[in-house]
Amino acid sequence: MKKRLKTGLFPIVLALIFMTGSAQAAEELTFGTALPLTGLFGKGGELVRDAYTLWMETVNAKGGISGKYKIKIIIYDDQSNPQVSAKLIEKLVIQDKVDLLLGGYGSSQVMAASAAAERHKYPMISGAASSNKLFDRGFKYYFATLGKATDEVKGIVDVFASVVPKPKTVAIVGSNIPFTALACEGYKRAAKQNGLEVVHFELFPISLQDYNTMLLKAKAKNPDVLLVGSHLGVAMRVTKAMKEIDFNPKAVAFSYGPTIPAYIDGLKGDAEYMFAASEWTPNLPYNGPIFGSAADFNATYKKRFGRFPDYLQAATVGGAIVLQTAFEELGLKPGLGQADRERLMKKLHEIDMMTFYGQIHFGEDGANVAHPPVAVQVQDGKLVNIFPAEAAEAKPRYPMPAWKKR
Amino acid sequence: MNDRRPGRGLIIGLIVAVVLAIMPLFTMGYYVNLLTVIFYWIGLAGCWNLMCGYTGYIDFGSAVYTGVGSYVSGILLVRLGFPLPVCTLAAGLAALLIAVIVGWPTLRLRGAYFAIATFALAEALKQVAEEWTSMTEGGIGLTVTYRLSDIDYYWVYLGLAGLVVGLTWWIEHHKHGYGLKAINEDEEAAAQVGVNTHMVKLKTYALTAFFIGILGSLEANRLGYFKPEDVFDIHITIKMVIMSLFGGMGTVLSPVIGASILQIIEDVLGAEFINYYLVIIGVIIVVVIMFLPRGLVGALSKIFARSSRPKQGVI
Amino acid sequence: MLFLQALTNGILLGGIYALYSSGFSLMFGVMGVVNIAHGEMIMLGAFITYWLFEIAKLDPFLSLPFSLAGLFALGYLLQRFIINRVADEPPIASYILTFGIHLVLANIALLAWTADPRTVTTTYSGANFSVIGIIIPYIKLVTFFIAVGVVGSLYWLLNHSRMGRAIQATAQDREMARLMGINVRQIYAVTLGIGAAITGLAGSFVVTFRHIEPGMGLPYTITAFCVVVLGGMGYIPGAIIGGLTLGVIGSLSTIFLTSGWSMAVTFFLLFMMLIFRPAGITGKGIVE
Repeated sequence: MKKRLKTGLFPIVLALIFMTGSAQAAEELTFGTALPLTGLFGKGGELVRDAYTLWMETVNAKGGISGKYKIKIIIYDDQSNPQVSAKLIEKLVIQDKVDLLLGGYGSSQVMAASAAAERHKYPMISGAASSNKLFDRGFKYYFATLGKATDEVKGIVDVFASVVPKPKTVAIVGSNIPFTALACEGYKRAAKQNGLEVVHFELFPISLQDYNTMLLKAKAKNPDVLLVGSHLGVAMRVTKAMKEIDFNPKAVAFSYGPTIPAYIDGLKGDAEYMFAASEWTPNLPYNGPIFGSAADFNATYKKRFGRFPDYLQAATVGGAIVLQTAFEELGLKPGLGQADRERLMKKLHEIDMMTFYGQIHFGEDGANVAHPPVAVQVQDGKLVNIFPAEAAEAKPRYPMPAWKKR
Repeated sequence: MNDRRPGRGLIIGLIVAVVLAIMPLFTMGYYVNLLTVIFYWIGLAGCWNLMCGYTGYIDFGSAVYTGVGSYVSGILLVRLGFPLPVCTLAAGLAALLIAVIVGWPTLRLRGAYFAIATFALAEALKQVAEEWTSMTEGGIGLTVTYRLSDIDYYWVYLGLAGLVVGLTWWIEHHKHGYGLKAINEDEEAAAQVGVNTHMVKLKTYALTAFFIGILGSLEANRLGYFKPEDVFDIHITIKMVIMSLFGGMGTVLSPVIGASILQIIEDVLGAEFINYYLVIIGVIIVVVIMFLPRGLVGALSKIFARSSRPKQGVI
Repeated sequence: MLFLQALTNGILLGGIYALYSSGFSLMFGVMGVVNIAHGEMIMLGAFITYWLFEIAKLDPFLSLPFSLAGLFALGYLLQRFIINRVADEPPIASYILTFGIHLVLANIALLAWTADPRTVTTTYSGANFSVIGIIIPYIKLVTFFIAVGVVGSLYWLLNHSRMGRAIQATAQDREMARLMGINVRQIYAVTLGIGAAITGLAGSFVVTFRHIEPGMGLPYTITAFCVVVLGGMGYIPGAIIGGLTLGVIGSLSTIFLTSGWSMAVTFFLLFMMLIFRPAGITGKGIVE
């Protein structure tokens, strides 16, 4: 029986493995990506999936890439787990034999996934990961349309340097995961550059049960501005906790969170006056292929999904457009080989183009050096661009009235 | 299978091992990767099975040793530049040491208490890893650039999996194993008959911790990048538990079967249907426990016991 | 001042902990069931309140009877038709079973409602008052009193009502209870129902002061476990002692160390407690 079992198991294993290999249609260009559709970043992953879907549908409606190759995207769920992400990249490359890869969501997952992509020499452009460490590895095949985490938040701190009366002190808190921890480092740097004194700095575990006491420490230092390294959940909790402990800084800024509609929907009036870092707003004077202007993209997205995109989705689609443009300019065909992908990689390092998302030009380390940070504020239940001044839709509302006076 | 001579089982095992060992020379990449991962989990589940499957003690804190293993070897590699074998061995020994310190008092606790005690330690050490940023880089994660080749990991994990399974087989058929099973049946009776229950448990616990530490340390540098929540993750322990359960706790082969089947299913289905997959696993667990509560352990092992009697002239 | 405020926060937090942990203690005390699906009961109670708020614009406080009733029904049915089957088996069977239930509930919820974080914000969310400079949020205070009330009522129920005495008798000696004519299976089902109901109630409060999503359960199960071990497994009033201890120590160590270290401290404390005093601070916990 043991023999039967063991040797019987083997062919089953092999059969299952071979069964799941897939062949490729001739006139299709296949892309693969691993996204967190479940787990800590499940929400973010879903939004990126929507972004890629919109790009795929829009391009296919025009005939496809180069006017003839229909886009097909294989999406796997990495469960917000970096190790799984890397493994899925291997699966996409070796088993599914995709032509090209698309970037995922979340600095940790993308860190691992891009390492696998680099090993296999597949270019990868991500629009939803910005940890500085992603660019410190000497990789040639990794690109990002977002600015680095530490630079992303620069815009919002510059805003505070320009309001009247100018704040003197800031407190910085953030969750202890790569993106947000780096955002906090970015806050620190930008504060120093702007002559703002950092009176409190604390990173907390993502599994922290109670935020009240943690924020109490920040409150006790009486900062003018609170800067938070956050994703959506953390942003919601910090906002609610601040109200509960009656913490009234003159302004609060989040590195991420308020730009997702669920933040305003969930918090209603309490979301008012909150600032957030951003990289893109629909009112910016950007214009490019496939989607037209920033406002056009915004409207198209809303029509397709019933909600507005936030800047990560814009950055993601921007990256896809760059990849597409590079592919088309090289005149490549589906069934890419190693040499083709290497040419693509070199082309990506040269490319310098304007899209609805803004100017995209990758530096030697793969980061987008042409893209300035932006900042927004919730005003009257909507997000408005308040920085940079040239593109601002409104002036920042500062200071924020105390909770009890609202 | 009660006789001590390895006999047919070992020969078959060796044949399979040789086949598996030379396989990567012919096939490539993803399949090697899949099998590497399977071997890794056979090793982990095998350790959990050895400790908990036989004694009936449920441990929810096993991930503490993958965590300790990953960080000890990661730190030695990155900060001190020691060669990999030294780091891995150190990781295993660190895990063993902690297991002895932790096991001594906690193995006196029964049931739920042992489970939560080890888990509490895992969470505590996870937080220490998060906060001690000068050593561990905290939540930002530790990057380990030194790495063997994929085939190397394949062979090392194959070897370790084989070692754990072999060890389980060996223990099952010798005095130590009888002690374990006696504890499972009735601990007090076992003590009265002269089994030093505490030492039996402690030795097993320390041994399995050693291997888990080694596996953890190798996996950390195979992946090249990890954070405290990845390596001290309770879901690692949960996976070890499910794999052992699936294969039928308390038998030599249960981790092999459990790990192989579950990892393949997870790979095939999980990537696209992870939630459905987990619901199904949950339902299966509920149904099996409801209708075969003893049976998950008893029925499956009975099936194996019955059919592992050597048949005539079959090879 | 910071100290006093942190202390107050800790105490209020302790009340919440007690509320969602007492059900856990009850289940263990009476049936020896370690409910690994406990966090999912909190999650479901929270979602009941959330959906009633979103769809029917029902104020969270008015949704309480619904989450109580809904979770009672769930708990009752789970015990009656599923968990009862392993009542005579060794405890490991119930851990595995409730673990399977945890997987099913959490993932079905995830499939149904996606991972989107949601929260309930009313006009009075976050409202607070201050006493000698210490700020006390209304909702947390109310939750604290409800926790004390619930635990007290549970304790009273167990000791001074027929049903309660039947539950106690069953907990102490099942065979004897059977001989005395008590329908043990029914008692178990009702007990799990009560435990689940209280836990669902806690969930309804939780959604008002933080965000919720289907995967939120496991950390709560873990915290409940910690609270109950500290206070004594199976000893109902211990839930309050354990809750307060956990809340206060967590809060104070956040102030004096950092929030990260406070979690390490909390878990080390739990670990030490299990080694040196598994019966909990009160010494009244059930030690197997």
